[in-house]
Amino acid sequence: MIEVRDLQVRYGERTVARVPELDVREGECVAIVGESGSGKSTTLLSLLGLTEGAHVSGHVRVCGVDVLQAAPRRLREIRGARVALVMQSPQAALSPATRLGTLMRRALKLHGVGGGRIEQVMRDAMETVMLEHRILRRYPHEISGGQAQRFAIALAIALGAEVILADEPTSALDVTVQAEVVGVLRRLREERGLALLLVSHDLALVSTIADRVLVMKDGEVVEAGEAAVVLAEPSHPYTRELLEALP
Amino acid sequence: MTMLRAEGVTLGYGGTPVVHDVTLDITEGGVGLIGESGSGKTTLARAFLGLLTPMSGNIWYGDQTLKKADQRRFRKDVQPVFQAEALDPRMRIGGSVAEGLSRGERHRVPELLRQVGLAPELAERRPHQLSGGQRQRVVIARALAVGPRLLILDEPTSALDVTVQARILDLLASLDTERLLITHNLAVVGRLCRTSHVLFAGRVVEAGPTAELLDRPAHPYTLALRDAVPKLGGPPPVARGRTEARPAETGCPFRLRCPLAAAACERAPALREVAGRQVACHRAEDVLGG
Repeated sequence: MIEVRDLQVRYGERTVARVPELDVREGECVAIVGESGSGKSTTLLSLLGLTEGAHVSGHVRVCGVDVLQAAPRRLREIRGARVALVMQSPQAALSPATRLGTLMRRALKLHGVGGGRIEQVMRDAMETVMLEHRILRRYPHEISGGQAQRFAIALAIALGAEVILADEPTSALDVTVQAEVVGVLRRLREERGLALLLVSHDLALVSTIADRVLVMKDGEVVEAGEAAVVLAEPSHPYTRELLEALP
Repeated sequence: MTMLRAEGVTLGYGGTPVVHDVTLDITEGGVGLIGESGSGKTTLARAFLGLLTPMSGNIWYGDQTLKKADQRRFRKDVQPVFQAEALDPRMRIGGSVAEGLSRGERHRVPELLRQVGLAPELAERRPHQLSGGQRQRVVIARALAVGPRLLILDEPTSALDVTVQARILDLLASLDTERLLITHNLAVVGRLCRTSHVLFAGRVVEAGPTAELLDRPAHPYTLALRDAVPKLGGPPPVARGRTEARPAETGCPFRLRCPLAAAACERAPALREVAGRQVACHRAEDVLGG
């Protein structure tokens, strides 16, 4: 679903992210971990061609589309529909004056889901993320952070996303709500074969959900491999430092 | 020795109570206040700082109520440490740290910065020129300036990277002051607080030695909080009960979320002694028994 080779993201002379190799297959979860400024979010955004003003080179293939070569129209087709982006605060990305149901209906129409099917698709998506249907009547400010995050995931499912790119999707949530959102993501992987690329600074969380992990520091991948191996027997001092810092 | 004590305190805004009848002693060895957003932790902290007057009940400072206490002494003894966003963006770091110092004491700024692990040269900078971790250290230095006996810490590390968080926790653990730590992160409480109080919907639902609470929770809510925390290499975090359910207005406030709720839970449970801690749950023995 995602294939990255020799990705380099530069702003002017400054290289902010360099990823030699990154693959995410169907039903797999790969996590990019690191601290603020490590280049992990930049890497994620570059997969959808969303690093405005940056010079991006290398080879990036997402859902069969060559992201760095594709025409803007082709990119718009995969963004949202086949590849969904889930951010830390989805409420900020939702129009404050639009009810959630209206918003989801519009998105579905925009991506060509037929009129007769819309209500059923919406109902299925809300059920999958365990949100009550009546929440669709609410405005973004009337729902909690956890509900907003699950709504963002429901939107992705309704649009038929095959890949979810998630940037710190639970770091603003209470632990109990985080557990619910993580549960939804795990289930989507298992039941629908969704591919998940997760950016997080929480190594404990990553260890419970990711198959593979990339550790980034100052824009470079310092360690990569199976999550169980990297987190149990880290070979890079920085990975060890991150692990030792866990409370 | 108890330095601050909430006794039967009910707190609210605009006549609506959000914290109900809480009794809590700030004792030696650190006290943790744990709960989700909206549980009333910060409201209680505001009352301990004298920023909110109880609707009923009292906050005791030694043998006097906070209302009657010597405010000058209180302000010196009890200092808040909030998230670093609380720094004035226009003020230089040195000025922020010196706010509570008299003119004659301002020479102590470099020493205070050093105490929290910052280079004295940073005094000339402004908050935006510092990293998140450095700003949090400045907030701690500012609180330490007046020589407090107690720090009231409201989520002091939640916005920080893990390595930065670890260093701030080391710093807090090394300080010779008492602390009330407000957090939703149980792991942090385990390090800094000998006793903890778990708050749900403005009520203390479990209170006792932190180690006991984390090892063998007796309230289903404490259990849900503990099991939701991901552990390195451990099983996936468990979501127990639906977090969306609102607190019940009658009976046990947790019962609509509680996987163990029974008919008895329609009666409000009082705090009672179970296995060396206070717990407000009719099913505490069942929770302990697994």
